Amino acid sequence: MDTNPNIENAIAQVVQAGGVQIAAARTASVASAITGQLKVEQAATRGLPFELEPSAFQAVLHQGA
Amino acid sequence: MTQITHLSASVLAHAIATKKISATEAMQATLTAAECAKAAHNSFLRIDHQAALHQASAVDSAIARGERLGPLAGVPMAHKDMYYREGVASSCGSKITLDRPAPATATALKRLDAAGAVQFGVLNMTEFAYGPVGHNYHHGHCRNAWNADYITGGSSSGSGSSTAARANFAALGSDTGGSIRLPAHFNGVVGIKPTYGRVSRFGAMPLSTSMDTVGPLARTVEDVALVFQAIAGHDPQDATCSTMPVPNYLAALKRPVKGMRIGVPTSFFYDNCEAGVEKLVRASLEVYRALGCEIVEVKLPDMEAWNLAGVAVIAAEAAAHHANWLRERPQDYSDQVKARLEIGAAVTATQYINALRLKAHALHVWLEQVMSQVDALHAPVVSFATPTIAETDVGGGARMAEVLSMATRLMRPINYLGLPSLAVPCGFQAHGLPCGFQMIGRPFAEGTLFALGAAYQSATDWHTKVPASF
Repeated sequence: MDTNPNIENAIAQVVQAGGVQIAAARTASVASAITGQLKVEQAATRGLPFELEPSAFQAVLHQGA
Repeated sequence: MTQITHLSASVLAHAIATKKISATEAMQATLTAAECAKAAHNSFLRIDHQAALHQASAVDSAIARGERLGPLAGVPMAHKDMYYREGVASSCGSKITLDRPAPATATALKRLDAAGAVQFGVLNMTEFAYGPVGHNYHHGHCRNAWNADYITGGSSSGSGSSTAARANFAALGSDTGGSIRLPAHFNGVVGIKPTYGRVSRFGAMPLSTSMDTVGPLARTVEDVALVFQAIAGHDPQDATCSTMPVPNYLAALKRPVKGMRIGVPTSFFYDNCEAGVEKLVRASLEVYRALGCEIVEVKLPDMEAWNLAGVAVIAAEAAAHHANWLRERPQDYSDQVKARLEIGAAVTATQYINALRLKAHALHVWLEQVMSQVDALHAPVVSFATPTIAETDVGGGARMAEVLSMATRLMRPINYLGLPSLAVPCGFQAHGLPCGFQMIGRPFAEGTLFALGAAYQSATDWHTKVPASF
């Protein structure tokens, strides 16, 4: 997946600000993976109820037993 | 006469309890087999001869005194080297944690100790349990028990390889994105990835706290159920551990399966599945049909989105756990694991939280759409023929990229949904490597999976096959 060089640069900066040294050759690959995931996840979460919170998961798990 | 190490854990436990075989004899035979497996497959990182024989002798003495012992009394077991024992350093497959003695013993180990099992060593694993093929660049790659040129699957590589090689009766593994079911499939043994919260993770190395599960691998479904019975249940030391009562899994093994409804997915799981693997997995369905189960096709929700959401959760949580070491000791990670952790360092907070919010919704949809129709869903573990170590190692080329991208695809969504899944061997591929299927259940329905798995093994003999050199 092609990514905008600005995004690649921004991701590299964020990762490096966190103290993780990321090889220049890896930056495009990380940016591509993250951008691809974001697109799919944003589509998947678009219809989520506004009030839904992460802790709801375990309640559903127990109800499903 | 059958060699001691070829007995199942259940048969051995009974033989020890009835004084037909001593725990010391069983341990001596296992230690010999373990040294062979260590040399041939690099499946053991440490074998504790003296301590194991001392403990086995103590079991024999207790039996001689007529003491009532646990259901695994005297059964030799070695575990993935990420279960902490107080005062002992666990490698976690890395070189970073080798100088960190554990402050406390893992709950799973304590429960196995209480059941009488004797731990005799620790097993190879993928570095920090973060990789699907089983390679380890610090301690050497673990090798498949059926052919040492082939991968074991990971991350519980030693758990699968040592158990298949008859050098271990059962082993703890861990499953965050397939790490129990993959080595079970690749090595021809049984493995259960439990419901999220069914088994305590206290004292187990964390990878992704929203997805990590602890479970056993063994040669038979009965053995897996026996070990699972010992470790399952609430633990106040693990806040995510469920208070749901633990059923009698050994009784569940005998539950009739006639009339049970088994789902077959019409999408996702068989996409681009290699013909040989698909044939073996679908053939196992016919066994269930002959056992009187009803086989029904099931349309699945969008698994790809959940898979990617699972990647975001695992990557972010793993990167958070490793943030300090990534900053301070980046040179001590292999390039492969460091590259995976880099992805997590770039996952945004909103992406991570939304991936967690989506979990509840996804599970609700799954329960409504899939589990309302069936007792369990039957599917492949992987969609490709078992590759060699060379094909999946550094410089492995296109095959390496293909395998790495496909390896956890059929696994990770099940972790994301928190569901139990049992991997069971169902034959051999054209090149002689084992193949398995997975049976996915509703939350906390491990008993149903054990019933289905045991019924399959009562009708087939794949689990009795032994690698040629053993």
